Amino acid sequence: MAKRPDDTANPDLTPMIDCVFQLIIFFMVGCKFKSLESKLEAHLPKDMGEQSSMPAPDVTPRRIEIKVAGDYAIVDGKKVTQMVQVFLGEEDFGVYTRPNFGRDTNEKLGYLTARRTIYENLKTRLAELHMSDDPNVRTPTMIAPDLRVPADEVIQALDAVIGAGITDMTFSGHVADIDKMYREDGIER
Amino acid sequence: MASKTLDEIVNSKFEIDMTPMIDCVFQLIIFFMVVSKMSQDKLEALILPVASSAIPDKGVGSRRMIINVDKDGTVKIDGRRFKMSELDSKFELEVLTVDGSMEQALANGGSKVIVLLRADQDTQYYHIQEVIRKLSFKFIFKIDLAVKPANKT
Repeated sequence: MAKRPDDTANPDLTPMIDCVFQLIIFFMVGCKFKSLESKLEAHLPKDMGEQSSMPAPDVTPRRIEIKVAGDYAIVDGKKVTQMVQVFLGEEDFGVYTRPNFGRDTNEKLGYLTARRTIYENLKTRLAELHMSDDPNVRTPTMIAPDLRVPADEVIQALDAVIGAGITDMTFSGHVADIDKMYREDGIER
Repeated sequence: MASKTLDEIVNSKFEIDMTPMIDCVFQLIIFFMVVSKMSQDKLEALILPVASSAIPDKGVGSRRMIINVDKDGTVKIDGRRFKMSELDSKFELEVLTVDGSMEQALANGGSKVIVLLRADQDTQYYHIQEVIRKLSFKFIFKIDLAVKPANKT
C-alpha cells in the first residue's frame, strides 16, 4: 500500500482574518454613516384635509405663518425667497434673510443665528401655549408657509412644533395657489 | 560545507498563499458594487435641512416608500423620475400592494404605507405640499420628513 505523502493541507488563515477584520471595521463605520440621516415624524391627522368627510373641529388651529418678506430674487429666471418673516397668529417673531447668493461666511452665520433665535422663541411660546391648553380640547397647530418658502424654513417651524411637544399638526396650502406656482415656473405636471 | 545565506533562509520560510485574500477582495468588490448601486437608487444626493428635534432614522421593517424632491421640484422614487401627474397612480399602486384595496386602507383609518419624504433644503414649499396633498388623497398619512440632525454641543 502506498504511503500518504506527509504534506498535509495547512492553509494560511492570516490574510482571510485580515479581510474579516476589515469588513468588521467597515460595518462599524458604515453604521455610523447611516445614522447621519434623521427624520421628523410629521404624521398627518386622518380626519382633516380637503377630502375629509368629517366636519371641521370647532377649535381654531394655531397658525404658524412663514411669510415671504420683501421682493423675490430672480435666480436662473426663477423666483427665489430672500427674506422670511415668522408669525404665530398675530404675533410677529421677526424677519431674517436667507444667504442664497455667494458664500460669505459672516452672512451665513448671521442668517443661522437670527433664524435660531426666532425659532427658539417660537418653540418657547408654543410650549407655553401647549402647557396652558385644556387637556380635553386639542388645539391643532397649522404650519402655513408661503408657497415659495424653501423647505429648510418649513422644517425649522416643524422642528419648533415637535420641540414644543406638540404632535397634532397640519400643513396648509391651497390647490389653486399651487397650480399658479407651477404655471409661473413653467413646470409640466 | 555549503552554507545558506540569511536571505535564502528567510525566503525559503515565508510563502504566503494569496488565494483566500484574493477571494475576499473580490467578494468585497462585488459587495460594494451591489450595495452602492442599491443605495444610490433610493437616496438621491440632496442637501437636507437641519433639525434639532430629529430622531435617528432606523428605517422601517415593513415596506417604505422613499420620495426624493430636488430643489427644482423633480420627484424621484427608486431612481425613476415621476411627473406630478404620474404620482397618483404610483401612490395608488403602493396602497393596493400594501393594504390590498383602497377601501381597506380607508377602513383602517389610513394606509399602512410609510413614506420618507426627502426634500432638498432649497426646494420651494409648493412642491412638497403638492406631494403631501397627493399622498393624502390616497389615504397615506404616515409621512416622515428626512433631515440632518443638528450637532448637539
